[in-house]
Amino acid sequence: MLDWLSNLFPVLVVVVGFWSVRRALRQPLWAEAWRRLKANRLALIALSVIGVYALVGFCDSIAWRNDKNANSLSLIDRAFSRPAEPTYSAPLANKTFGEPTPRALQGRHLLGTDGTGQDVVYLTLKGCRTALIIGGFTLLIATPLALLLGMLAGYFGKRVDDAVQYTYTVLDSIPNILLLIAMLLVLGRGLPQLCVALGITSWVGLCRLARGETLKHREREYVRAARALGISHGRILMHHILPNLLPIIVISVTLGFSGLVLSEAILSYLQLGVAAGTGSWGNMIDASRLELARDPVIWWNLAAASAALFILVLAFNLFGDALRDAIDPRLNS
Amino acid sequence: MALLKVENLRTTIRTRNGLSRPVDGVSFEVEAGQTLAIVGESGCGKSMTALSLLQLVPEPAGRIQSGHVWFEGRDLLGLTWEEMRPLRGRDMAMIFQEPMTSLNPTLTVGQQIIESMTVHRTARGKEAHRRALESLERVGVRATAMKQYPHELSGGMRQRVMIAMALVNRPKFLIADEPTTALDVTVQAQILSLISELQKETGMAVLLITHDLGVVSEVADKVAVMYAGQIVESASARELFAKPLHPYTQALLASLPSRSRRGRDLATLEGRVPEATAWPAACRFEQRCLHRFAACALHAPKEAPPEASHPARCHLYDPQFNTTKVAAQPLVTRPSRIGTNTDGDSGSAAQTGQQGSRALVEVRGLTKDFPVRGSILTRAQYQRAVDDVNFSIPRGRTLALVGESGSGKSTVGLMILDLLDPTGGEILLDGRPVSARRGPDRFALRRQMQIVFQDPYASLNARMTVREMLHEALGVHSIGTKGEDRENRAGALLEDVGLSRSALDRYPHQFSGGQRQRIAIARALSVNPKFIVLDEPTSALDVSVQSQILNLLRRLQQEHDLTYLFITHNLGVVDYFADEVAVMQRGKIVEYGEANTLFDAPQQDYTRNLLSAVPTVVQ
Amino acid sequence: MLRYLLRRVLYAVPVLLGVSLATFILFYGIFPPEQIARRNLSAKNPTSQQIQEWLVAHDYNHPLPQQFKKHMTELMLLRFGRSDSTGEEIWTRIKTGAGPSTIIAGLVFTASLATRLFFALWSAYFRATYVDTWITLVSVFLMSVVYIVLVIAGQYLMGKVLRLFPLAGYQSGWTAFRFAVLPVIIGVISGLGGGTRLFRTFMLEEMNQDYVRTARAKGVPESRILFVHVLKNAAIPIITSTVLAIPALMLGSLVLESFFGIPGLGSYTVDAINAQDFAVVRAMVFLGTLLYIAGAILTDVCYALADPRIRLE
Ligand SMILES: Nc1ncnc2c1ncn2[C@@H]1O[C@H](COP(=O)(O)OP(=O)(O)O)[C@@H](O)[C@H]1O
Ligand code: SF4
Ligand SMILES: [Mg+2]
Repeated sequence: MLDWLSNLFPVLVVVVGFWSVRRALRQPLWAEAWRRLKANRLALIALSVIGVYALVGFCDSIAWRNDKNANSLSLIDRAFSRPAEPTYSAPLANKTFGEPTPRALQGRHLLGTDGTGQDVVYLTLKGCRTALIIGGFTLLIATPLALLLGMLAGYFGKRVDDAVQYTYTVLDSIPNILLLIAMLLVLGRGLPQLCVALGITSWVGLCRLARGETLKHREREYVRAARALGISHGRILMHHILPNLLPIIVISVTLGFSGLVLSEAILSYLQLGVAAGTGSWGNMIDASRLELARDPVIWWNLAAASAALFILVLAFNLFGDALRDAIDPRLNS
Repeated sequence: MALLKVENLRTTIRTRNGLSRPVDGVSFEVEAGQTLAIVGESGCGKSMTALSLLQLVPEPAGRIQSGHVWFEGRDLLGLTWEEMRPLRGRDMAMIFQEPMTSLNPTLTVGQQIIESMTVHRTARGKEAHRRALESLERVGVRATAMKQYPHELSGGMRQRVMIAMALVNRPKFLIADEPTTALDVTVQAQILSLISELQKETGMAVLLITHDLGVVSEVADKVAVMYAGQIVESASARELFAKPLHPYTQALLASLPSRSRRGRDLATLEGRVPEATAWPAACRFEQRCLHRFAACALHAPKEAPPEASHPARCHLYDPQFNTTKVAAQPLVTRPSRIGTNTDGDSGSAAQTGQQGSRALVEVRGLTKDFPVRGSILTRAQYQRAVDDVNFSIPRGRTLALVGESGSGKSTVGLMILDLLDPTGGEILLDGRPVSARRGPDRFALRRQMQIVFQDPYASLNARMTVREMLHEALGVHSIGTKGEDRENRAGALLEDVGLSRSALDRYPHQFSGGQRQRIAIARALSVNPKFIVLDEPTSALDVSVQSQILNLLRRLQQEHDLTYLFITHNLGVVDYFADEVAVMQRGKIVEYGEANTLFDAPQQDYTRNLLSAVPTVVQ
Repeated sequence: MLRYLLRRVLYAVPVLLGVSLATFILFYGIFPPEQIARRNLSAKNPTSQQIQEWLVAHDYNHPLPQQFKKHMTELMLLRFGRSDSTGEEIWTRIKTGAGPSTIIAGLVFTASLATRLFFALWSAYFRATYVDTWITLVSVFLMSVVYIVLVIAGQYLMGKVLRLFPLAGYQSGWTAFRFAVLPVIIGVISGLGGGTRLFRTFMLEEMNQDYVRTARAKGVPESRILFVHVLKNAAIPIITSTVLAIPALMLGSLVLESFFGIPGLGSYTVDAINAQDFAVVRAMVFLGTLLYIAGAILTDVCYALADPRIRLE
């Protein structure tokens, strides 16, 4: 029963995602942006890379148990269901690494194994889901909140604006990292906690942006014309202003995603990342600090995790840039 | 020998939609001491022509492809950027349309004028300072402005500073690209006469770029009419206005609103300038020309056909194509007449001028204060934007509210529509106060009053189709039944404003400025209002499009018995359109009365100044 | 000017009140002192007796309203009290840590600003050439590298393989700079990509303004247009974005200091996290906020000095 629910969720996310993209592409702004994106090879490569990561994350989210008492295993777990090696082994080696008397391995590992004998490719793939959840869910928490408060503040001004501005000024004057530390110390380690904490620190920028843009649009003549027609404030906000804010929000969310994924690595270093059992690149990188000090060095753990992270973040940065150019040619000089 | 001689200039710009050719074979000459005006609608390539002369086309997309620019016998197009630099600002200077943004906001006026001299080593130190002061004084800016920043000066003052900066090196040639378009009429008149005076003193040549035929007729010696990247007609100013040959020039002149055309439709110029990426192959004006005939779509006209008394790019003057000899005499585009009014002046007055009919809109003692600055810690200060304004508009008539920018006209309009709360005073619609209404009553009010704004780009929501806009308006007021009925109504509205039903599915960016203004009017009409505030509805449009909109507004007024409050700073339009006029100055109404009497015998100095500043075409 | 400063400082008071309220909710509401005690006591299942003793020892044994009053007043008076884990006076550690932290952060800050400006100016001057393309590309690459990896790899490469600088540690006095070199270089590189790109955008935006066209029409040389006209205007958004970089600077110090064993406020905070020392974290949050607000005020003043359109009234 629970398996069903937890599998339904990723499917739902994918379906809703596809549906909104398809709907958006019917509008000329997005259709035009897509036409320009298609002409940009780098953007397409970046998008495919993001797609591959998303696919891995999706496969890792589809999980079920073999029998009642067993752990639930995802598609990725099943693909790598080999018994663990005893300890470290170098990429493609056939013996364990760094032991006085190296033992034979049970199989070959493209990127070697870590201290507990787990395949590094497998660990790296496990990190995808964590990274995507941290980026995606945080934004899922932060974006609606930021939009709601920002638009209300910008549109109604006065008291509402004062309240919203005060709230985010207070939050904003605590340096993000310290606020994160404080919250995570209190909430404890874990994926949901991380999303909530990152959500709280990242809605402020978006809210400021939404408020500023709403302020601008409120004074535009099309809003005045709508008011002269007697259209309600709610409808003006939802049907007139929101669609005009979307492009800038989409750009900032895309570029914000990479920042969130990077934060996870730093928080892991501070021992505030996801719990040790959850596969995450941050934890892998953190663990590799000691490995580099060994002689001969164990580099593959660090290399695999940081490369995976680097490629995803780079893809998001490149795609975000291309999207910005495609949506608003004026920003591109 | 001419000071500047341009031959067959071609400039291209790479764009997303292909290669754009804003300047496509332009030739002209300017003598020392002369003023040549280039006129035409926006998008015809006037600015790009000017920038090409100084080789300032946008980098790296822009390129001057071919041609010659002879200046004092040297071909400037053969010079490199660095060889060209000493000429810019020393021998050839340029001023731009936007005085607000064309000066560096972080440098003082003095620094910017002195820089003009130091980069060319024409003066240094104390000498440069002295000459900067001198030139400021000459353009009528006080000496203290030397230490001020541009934002501390008004628009007119900034344009004067631009002129001082351009002329401080005593250039032989001045290019002025729409130098007065962003300014009020009174300021425009001052700037234009300043340029003429300076020209007489120094003997420099001036290339004036403008879309305002009135300005041309006041200051130009020679005129070149530009259309779609080419010069289509050129002549001395006197000859051009007396005997315009090209159908484009004729249409531009005939579309000017004036009192003599009151009550009649203005001649219009349908359609718009084609895109610079796809100029038509034969006659570029063919799609919009009232005189076109078979040959026009096949052959490009010659620059100066044999039967034209001055160059006019049109087959009508070419016996090779035009065998009917229509053009033996110059063509005149006759404005057509509509409606039953034969007497332009008394028509609308006769309709509604009955004694005792109650005013539809009445404004009493209307006042508005805006907080100038106010935060939690400082006491708020107020500025009175509207000060005790009174007027009334009889049913079916038009009251024009005129005045310089910032005089409070739009604020009055917004308060009447209940979009802005008045500080004091009363607004009556049909004898009942507007602001006293609450709830559903207030909502019902929305159906009776509507507004059309100046900027056709900002007044339509870019993310909604025309259908969505019209259906929303109908839906909010439950007009008609959902579905087919509303669809029909929306279609009928579009047809009423001269658009086709196919426009329903399109988004605003797919329309030209004039078409957008029509959509805005259709949206206002959708709820069947009795009263419409027209807030500068034609100020952002070219004259040719302005006449279309004015014709439309006039027809709608008659057909739907509408009452207008027409807010504008364009007195030509008022003279043509309004029944009554209220002149506003710094929030107050200084003169108010019947249009003809007020224009014939203005009582206030302010009104007289305003009237005398309007440049008019002497034909 | 003075009045403006005063107003600005006064405006900080409600914000600081809000911050201390937020920390109260976090540290007393969501995570009550009993739990702090539980986490700090080494025994697996501390008795209620032990917990009570711990609470008394650390001054947490008051009813909520009193605790609230105490919390607010002490924070506002900058009395941070004692560490939860070591019992040490927090201020003494802040005093000893401030020196090294200031040196590292100050050096990173100035060196970052200089390098970013340098590359952004290059990029803008050679815009639309391969120089610009490369600078932009390398910037995006740098932006995508994880900070931690940069630190780890940087330390490994420069300290261990090339043996140029001491790997970690700190000494006061002039030798401090020897130890600061490595962390500062890494701190600068980590922000270089994003910063350069941002500054470049600001400059190119100014390049498209009308006044640049005016300057060209006046015959001003391109170099002067960039270094005088454009730079003066671009300075305004650059200053604003610099204050946004202050929190990032703190983050940088946090990781850099603890990694390189520099006994500054950053390492102190990281140690506190590991020791579950809530009192120290609370103090650091408040101190960080104070520094941030001070930075913001400073920025506003610089901003107004750079932009003649703004007057400090
Ligand atoms: N920077 C530019 N990039 C692309 N096209 C441009 C640019 N500037 C002008 N154009 C095109 O050149 C044509 C003429 O423009 P312009 O010279 O500004 O006309 P005018 O001054 O007569 O209004 C227009 O169709 C416009 O689209
Ligand atoms: S050539 Fe033909 S279409 Fe062109 S302007 Fe003359 S008459 Fe009109
Ligand atoms: Mg122009």
